[in-house]
Amino acid sequence: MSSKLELTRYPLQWLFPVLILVIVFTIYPFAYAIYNSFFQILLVLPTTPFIGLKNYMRVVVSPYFWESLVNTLIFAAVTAPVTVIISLGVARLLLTKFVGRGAVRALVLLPWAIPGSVAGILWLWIFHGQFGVLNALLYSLGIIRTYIQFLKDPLLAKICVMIAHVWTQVPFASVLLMAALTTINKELYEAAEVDGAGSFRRLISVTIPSAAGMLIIALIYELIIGITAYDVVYSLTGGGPGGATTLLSYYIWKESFTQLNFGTGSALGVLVALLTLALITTILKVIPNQIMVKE
Amino acid sequence: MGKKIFVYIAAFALLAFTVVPLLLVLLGSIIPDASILSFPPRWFTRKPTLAYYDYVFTGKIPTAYELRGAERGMITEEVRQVPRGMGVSASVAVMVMAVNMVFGSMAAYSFARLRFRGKAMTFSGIVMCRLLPAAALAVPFYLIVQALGLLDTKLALVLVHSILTLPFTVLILTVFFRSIPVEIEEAAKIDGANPWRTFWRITLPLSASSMVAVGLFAFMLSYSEFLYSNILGGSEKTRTLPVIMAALSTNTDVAWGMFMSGVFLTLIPTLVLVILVWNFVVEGIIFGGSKF
Repeated sequence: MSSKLELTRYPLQWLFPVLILVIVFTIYPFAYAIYNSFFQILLVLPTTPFIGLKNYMRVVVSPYFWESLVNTLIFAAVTAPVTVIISLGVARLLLTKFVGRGAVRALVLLPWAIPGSVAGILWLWIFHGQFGVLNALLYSLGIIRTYIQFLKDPLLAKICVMIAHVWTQVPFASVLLMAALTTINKELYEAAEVDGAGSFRRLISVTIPSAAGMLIIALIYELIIGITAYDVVYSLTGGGPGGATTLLSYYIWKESFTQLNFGTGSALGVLVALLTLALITTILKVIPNQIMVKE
Repeated sequence: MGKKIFVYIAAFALLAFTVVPLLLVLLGSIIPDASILSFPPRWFTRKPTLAYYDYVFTGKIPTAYELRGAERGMITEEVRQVPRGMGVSASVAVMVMAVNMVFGSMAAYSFARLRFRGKAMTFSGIVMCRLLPAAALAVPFYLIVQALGLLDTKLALVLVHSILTLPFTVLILTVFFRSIPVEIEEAAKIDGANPWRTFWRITLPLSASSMVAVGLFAFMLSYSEFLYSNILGGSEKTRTLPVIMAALSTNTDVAWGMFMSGVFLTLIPTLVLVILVWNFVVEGIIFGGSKF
C-alpha cells in the first residue's frame, strides 16, 4: 500500500510537537543517564569522579540486583499474559448482549482510574495481616482460626502484588481488545460455525488471528508496564518481606533516592532499558505482525 | 439457555473482581476504626459514620478522636488536601488529554498516510520511548525541568505526562488510521483538498471513537501518575492526588477510615468522566468498526 504513496519530504509540520517532547524528555535525559552511569555520584559527597564501569560492576555483583531481576521477569511474565487473557474474556463478554451490560461496561473501567499507589493501599486493606478483609472473611466463615500474614510470606506476598497489579491493568487492555474484536468480520464466525467449529475452535482460528495486531500491542504494553511497575509495590509491600517483592524499578528508586547513589541508579536504569528493548524487539521479530511502520 | 446463564455468571464474576474492592473502600470509610481493628471481627456492631468525610471537607474533627491525646494523632491535616488535589489532578489530566489528541493524531496521521525518508526510524524512536524505566529518568527530568524554570508548575506536569502517554497514543492511532480505507481520502484529494484539510475534515471525524479512547487513556495515566508528580511538584498548587495519597500511606498512624475516605474521593472525577464518555466510546468503537 505504501508504495502507492508518493515520496514526500520529511513532514516536520506534522511531527515537531511530538519530536520536541521526545528529544527534550527522553533522548536527552537518557543520554544524561548513560553519562551519569560512568561517574560516582553520591549526593553525600561533593566530588563526582569518573569511575568507568565500576557502577555496572557494583550492580552485577549485587545479590539484590539478581533477586529483583528474577522477581521482575517472573512478575512481567505472569501478569502480562494473565492480564491479556482475562481482558480478552472481558472484551468478549462486554460485546455479548445481556441485561445491565451498560452499567457493567462503565463499572469495569473504574480500577483503571485508581493511581497505583492508591490501588496498593486498597489491596492492603484486603490482605492486611491484622485487620484485612480477606482474613476477617475467612475467619468469620470458620475456615481459619488465626489470621494469615499474607504480606509476610514471600510467595503469598508475590501473588498479592500480582493480583493488585492485574486488577489495575485489566480495564485498559479490555478497551483495546474490545476495539479490536468489533472490527472482526462476522461472516468469518458464521463460516466457522457452518464448518462445525465449536466456541474454542472459533476462538483459536478466528478471534485470535483476526485480533492479533491488538493482542500483540496489548501484550507488549503489559510487559512494559510489568517490567517498569513500581507504585503498587511501593504502597502494598514496600518491596518486602526481605526482597521478595522488590522489582527493578523499585530497586532503582531505592538506590537513587534513598541511598542517594545516582551513579549506580543510572547504571541500573540503563541495564533495565536494554533488557526491555531486547525483550520487545525479540517479540516483534518472533511474532509476525503489522504493527511497526516500515519505510 | 445454558449460554445465557454462563454469560450472567461471567458478568457477576467480573463485577466481583472489579467493583467489590471499591465497595470495600466505601465500607472502610464509614465504619469507625474501633470496629475495623476489633478481633474477632465485628464490623457492623457500631453505627456507620460520615465523620471522616465531614473532616475532609469542613475540618470538623470526628468526636471519637476528640477525647484522648494519642488518638488525636490519628487525624492528619494532609487528608484535607484531597479536594484541592482532585482539582489539580483533573486539570493537568485534561490538558494531557488535549495534547495527546491533537499532537498525537497529527504524528500518527503522517505515519499512516505519508511516505518519507526516516519514517520507520522516527516511528520506532517515538514508540520505544516508553521502554525506558521511569525511575531511571527521574533525576535528569528534575534537572531539565529546573533548567527550564518550570519546577512546581502544572505545565511541567503536563509536559512530562504527555511524553509518557504520546508513544502509545501514536502507536494506537497509527494502527487505527491505517485501517481506514485510503479510497475515502482519495476522493477528497481529487476534489483538491491538501493533506491538512483531508486530515481535519475526513480522517478525524471518522476516528472519533479511537480519539476518545486514546484521550481517555491519556487522562487516566496522567491522573494516576505518581513518580514524576512527586519529584516535580512541590507546593499545594501542584500537589496531585497520587502524591497526597502516597504521603498519607507512609503515615502509619493515620486513622484507617480517614484514609479510605480519601481513596474513595479520588474515584469521583474519573467516575464522572467515565459516565460522560464511556457509552460514546463503546458505541463509537462498535459503529466505527462496522463501518469499514
